[in-house]
Amino acid sequence: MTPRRTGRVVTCTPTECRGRRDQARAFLEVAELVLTEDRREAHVAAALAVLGGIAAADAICGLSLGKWSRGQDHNQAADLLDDVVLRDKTLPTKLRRLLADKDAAHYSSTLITIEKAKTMVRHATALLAEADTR
Amino acid sequence: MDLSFPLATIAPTLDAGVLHVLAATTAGCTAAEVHRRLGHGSDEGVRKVMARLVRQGVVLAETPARYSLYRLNREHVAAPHIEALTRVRDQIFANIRVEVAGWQIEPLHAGLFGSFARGTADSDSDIDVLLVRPEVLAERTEDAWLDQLVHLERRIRDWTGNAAQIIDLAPGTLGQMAHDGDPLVDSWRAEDIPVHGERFLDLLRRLR
Repeated sequence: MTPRRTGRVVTCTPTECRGRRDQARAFLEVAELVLTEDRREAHVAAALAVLGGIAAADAICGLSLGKWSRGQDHNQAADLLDDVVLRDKTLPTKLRRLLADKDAAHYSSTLITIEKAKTMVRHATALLAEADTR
Repeated sequence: MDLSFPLATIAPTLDAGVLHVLAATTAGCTAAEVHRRLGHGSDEGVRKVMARLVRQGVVLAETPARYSLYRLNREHVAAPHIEALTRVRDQIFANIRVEVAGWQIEPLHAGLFGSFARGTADSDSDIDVLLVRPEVLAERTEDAWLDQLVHLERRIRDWTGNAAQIIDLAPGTLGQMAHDGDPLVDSWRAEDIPVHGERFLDLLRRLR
């Protein structure tokens, strides 16, 4: 059994969850806008995709479980997502890769290409789509 | 796990270090020499550890001259287990190789880099993995590819207690980074320990 990450999981209200869902939508709308062929913008879109993905995951967990992760380690949010009955079962993987790609960017900024950023936005959009079904 | 001193998983840090040094040699060592190779702890601390391990029979002491010489008692029933723990790094490499070799979607290249590859990792270090995707990865197979990555991350954490940091790279991106002279490519060139697929240098030449 993989050791679970520890950290803060707090209860939340449906209103707060819908607020997080709206935040996710806003992040992703801007991410779509900044996705241009200018390579510098790829980092902005990628950062927004990560923020949008985390917000969408919070909304999914909150609306399904009545709680979400507030720990420093965002991978705990992916662990919590594993506890939700999801229509799209690839979502915990997509969230984990979003977080991993964000961490990998610390090694070199050139790791975030336009194509990588588009993929990250696509993954975050899938998380938002799930949040929209709740 | 402290990947530089895996014995520390089950023994206090100084004991783990002393056993690690003694397991690496068949020659007798003075306490001062063990302390020097260990690079931490006090001289007195090392001598106390030696005395305790001698009492337990896992270390032998001989005094042919002025100073005692210590060596691991390889006849002791615990010795094979101690030696196995010092080879944990090799076991981790082997586990990762077997895991990636079993993937349905093979990477062009898989390799280890960073502090674990260099042999300087500790209990807070990530295990860094470089993966270069196949030339063509259709959107419908991308989910399967990502599942492989996440499963590998989980397995590395299961095996070591350390997090994995996987860099998932398209070949075109690697080629561009090499063309741009990205210093990360130089690190990979210097450190990469191959796990699966084409050798990193061969892949770089091909992508240029």
